[in-house]
Amino acid sequence: MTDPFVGQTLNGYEITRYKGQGAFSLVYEANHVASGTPVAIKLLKPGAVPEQIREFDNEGDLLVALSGAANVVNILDTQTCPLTVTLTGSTIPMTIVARFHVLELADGCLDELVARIDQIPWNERLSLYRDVVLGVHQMHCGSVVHRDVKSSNCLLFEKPMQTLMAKVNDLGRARDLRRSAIASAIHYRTGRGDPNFMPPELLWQLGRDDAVTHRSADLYGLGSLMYELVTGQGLTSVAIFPRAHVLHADLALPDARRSLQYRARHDELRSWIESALAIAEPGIPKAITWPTVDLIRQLCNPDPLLRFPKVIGGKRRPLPADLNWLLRRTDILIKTLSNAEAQRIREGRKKARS
Amino acid sequence: MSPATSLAPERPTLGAPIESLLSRPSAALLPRPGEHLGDLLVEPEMRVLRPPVRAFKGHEVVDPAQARERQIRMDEEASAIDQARSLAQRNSDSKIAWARLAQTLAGAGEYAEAVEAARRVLQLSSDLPELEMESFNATSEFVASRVLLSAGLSDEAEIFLREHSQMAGPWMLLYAAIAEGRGDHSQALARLEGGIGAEFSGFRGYLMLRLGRWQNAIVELRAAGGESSRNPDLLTNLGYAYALAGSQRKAIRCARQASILSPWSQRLSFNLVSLLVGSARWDEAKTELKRLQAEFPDDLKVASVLGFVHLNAGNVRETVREYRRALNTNRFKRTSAEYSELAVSLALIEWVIGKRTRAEVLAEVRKRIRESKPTQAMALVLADVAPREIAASEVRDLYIELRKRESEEALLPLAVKLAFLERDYDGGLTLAKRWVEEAPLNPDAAQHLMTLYGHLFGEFGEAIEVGAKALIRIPGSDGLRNAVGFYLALCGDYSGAHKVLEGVADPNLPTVLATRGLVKLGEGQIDEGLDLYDRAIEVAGERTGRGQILEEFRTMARLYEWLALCRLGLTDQPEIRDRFDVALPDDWGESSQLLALSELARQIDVSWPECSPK
Repeated sequence: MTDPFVGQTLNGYEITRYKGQGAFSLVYEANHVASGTPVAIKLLKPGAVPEQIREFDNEGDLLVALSGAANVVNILDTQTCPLTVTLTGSTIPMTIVARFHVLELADGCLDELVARIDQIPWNERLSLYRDVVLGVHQMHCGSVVHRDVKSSNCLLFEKPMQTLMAKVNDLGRARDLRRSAIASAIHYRTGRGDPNFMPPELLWQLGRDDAVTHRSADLYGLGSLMYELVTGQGLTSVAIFPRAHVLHADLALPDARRSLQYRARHDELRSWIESALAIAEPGIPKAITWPTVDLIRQLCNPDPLLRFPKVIGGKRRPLPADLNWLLRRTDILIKTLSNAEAQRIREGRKKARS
Repeated sequence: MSPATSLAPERPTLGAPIESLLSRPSAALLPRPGEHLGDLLVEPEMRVLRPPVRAFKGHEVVDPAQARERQIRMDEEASAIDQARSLAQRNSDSKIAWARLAQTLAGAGEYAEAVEAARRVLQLSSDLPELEMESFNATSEFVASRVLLSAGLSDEAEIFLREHSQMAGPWMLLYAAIAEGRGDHSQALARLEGGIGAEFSGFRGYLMLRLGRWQNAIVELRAAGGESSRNPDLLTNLGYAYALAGSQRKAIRCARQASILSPWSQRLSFNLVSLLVGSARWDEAKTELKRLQAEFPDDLKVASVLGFVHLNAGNVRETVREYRRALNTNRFKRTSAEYSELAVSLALIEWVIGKRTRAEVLAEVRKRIRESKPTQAMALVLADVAPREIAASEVRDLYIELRKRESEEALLPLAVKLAFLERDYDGGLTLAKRWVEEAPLNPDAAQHLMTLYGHLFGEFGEAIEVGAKALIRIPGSDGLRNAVGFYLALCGDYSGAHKVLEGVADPNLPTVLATRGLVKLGEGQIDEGLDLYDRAIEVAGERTGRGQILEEFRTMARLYEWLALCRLGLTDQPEIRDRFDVALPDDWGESSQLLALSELARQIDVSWPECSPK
């Protein structure tokens, strides 16, 4: 069936190809007619409800505010224009108001790589992971939290020398911590999006609209992303999905009780996560098995506060707003891996000589 | 004298509520068909903030805020499926992409398509060359196997897992969990052999509990974290193992710890209460239930258990008050099974204290069974109060109906009762043995088995052995203690009987007084023995009032006394013969208790019904 938007021109952007869709938007490849530059158009779905329109506008505002962030996808334009289309299932042309963001065109999505993760060298996986961490770090430095970090929300861009760079995309559920909320506080209690990647406290509906909750949810997302880069699957889907009946039972409790019940379940949840990590371990190079597993263990701790760096010297440090510590740990992983590789090569040469 | 089970007033509760309270060992490993993460995401409670939109008659009105929320959720779910589907289509040879699709579809409840995707994963995996299999990332296969399991296709998942049985870690847990789900605990245990870690130990401990290997279970459960664990399920299992091994104090400590960790779990609280009741620690049981009642003030089950504890502690008035309060505050639940059970319980207690007749209780039970969905507890009361032949036919019908929705194991108490009513004692013995195996902490199970062994088959030694073993696990059960004392006295071991009866929590229990009378008679202290029988009837009168129930107890007590005197050859003395002013009722064949007594008479070579004093 022909896509009603392909071939249309929106304020100087000619839509050429359908790319995919999100919860409230359609993504197309387009050309800027005047310059011939290929771009991506993110179009608000016709029939979107007011909450979705607010999230769409919010995404545009945040991308503009983060336009200096190298690892967050660039927004080029945000526009609204009338458009005459014949929607699928109808024969009558109608005029709608098209709201769209113009974004830089990516060469792919990280989930494409994740689908073939076994074929991707580990140094490349870690480099892409670092890019995503850097993107989230840049967002956190700008007091913006993403709230939905996963491979399908990260775009890939080709760099010179045929290397890839990842950028954080899809800020539909992001939140600017300096501004008032765009939705009522109750909306932040549960996670949104795909439950297979959701932090457990949000599955237990214990989220709050505060910086710690949002930042720790991003940390969980980054831990789960590392798990994706190891196994191809989200951590929640492997660790918590089979025990959904436990969650079903707890959800019957009122908020305050559920919160205590969740706390009582921390050890249990940790053991589930350990099982999921045990499945992942064989897929990690020996040189970085322990630090990688330990990193996921920390980032995906069921206790959101324990996802932040550990207390040192008996003094409680304030929870860091940035992710410099995580970038450092990722750098250590990258360096350890390259050292191990160099060592392996040296030993190989030595063996060949002897 | 008679064991407690043979006298209805001794246990005027619904069957054995405590049995249903005892939490079974649990293992949270298998996904359950029909449960998926997608369902867990409830819509934010916007409706709380705004008044509900009322519909005119015949018109459906949807709250716009709710409708919008629903659309957002549906869009998100559709988008997740669309992304996963297009990823799988673009990477049709990637098992990771298909596993993601299978998981997402299963999460959205679309099992048919999810199963197809999962099968694709396993197919792609089996096509892999051997070389790759050695170092491969098996998470996709793990996810696919679990999707098959959650869709109820455990056979298919098991075949795959069997082919890859060299895989360790969570694979072994999953493989074992399939066997456990089938009820094959031995095979499940074999599949866990060599597994290291807390989850392995916890699972092995659970399986050993199921297999009756308490000591091994304790070792495994302690290795999994033991008393210092913060996992309520593990603590519950450990407490269960301790209780079965006879360490009541440790069992209670574990159960209390589990209840502290999950203070709003009724299941864990009831578990603690059942262990406290088993050790006759009534006050602590009441404190725990009062705490729970403060959290769930109108809960019928909490009220029911609290009443039960009051009753066991000898405070019948409190029980009646508690039941009446709960029934009054829950009138709107009139047709619920819980309400009906409580109403039947109240009727039964009122019969015990002489405020209702047997016919009235019978009418009440029948009414409640008609009005709400019948339950095993109601059927058990029916079996206790209706004349034997009528009860047998009605209970049989109820059993058939209940069997449609409950397992055979869950209905063992009723099956045993039915075997009694139908005089199928061989079948009853087999069922009672299974009941004891299934519910080793339930004093009723042990008492039924003892009655079958002792009264009906004359195997007093077996009966004593069953009782003695059960007493190690449930030291606070006066009924059980009394039954063991009774059979010891029948065997002539009066000092043993004395020793056992010394441990009763309530020394003035009528049945215990009667058994003491039997012991005294056996020891040759005739006057003291006869006095104790008189005292038993007197105390029963004080406790139950002067109603029909007292008459029934008096008849039973006198018949047991007469039987004991016959056995001891003391009935020739005219002054003793003159004491008896009761006669065997004409319709004695309609009473299971009198039938059991007649069998006992036969076992001890006393002719029946000629043995009747009048």
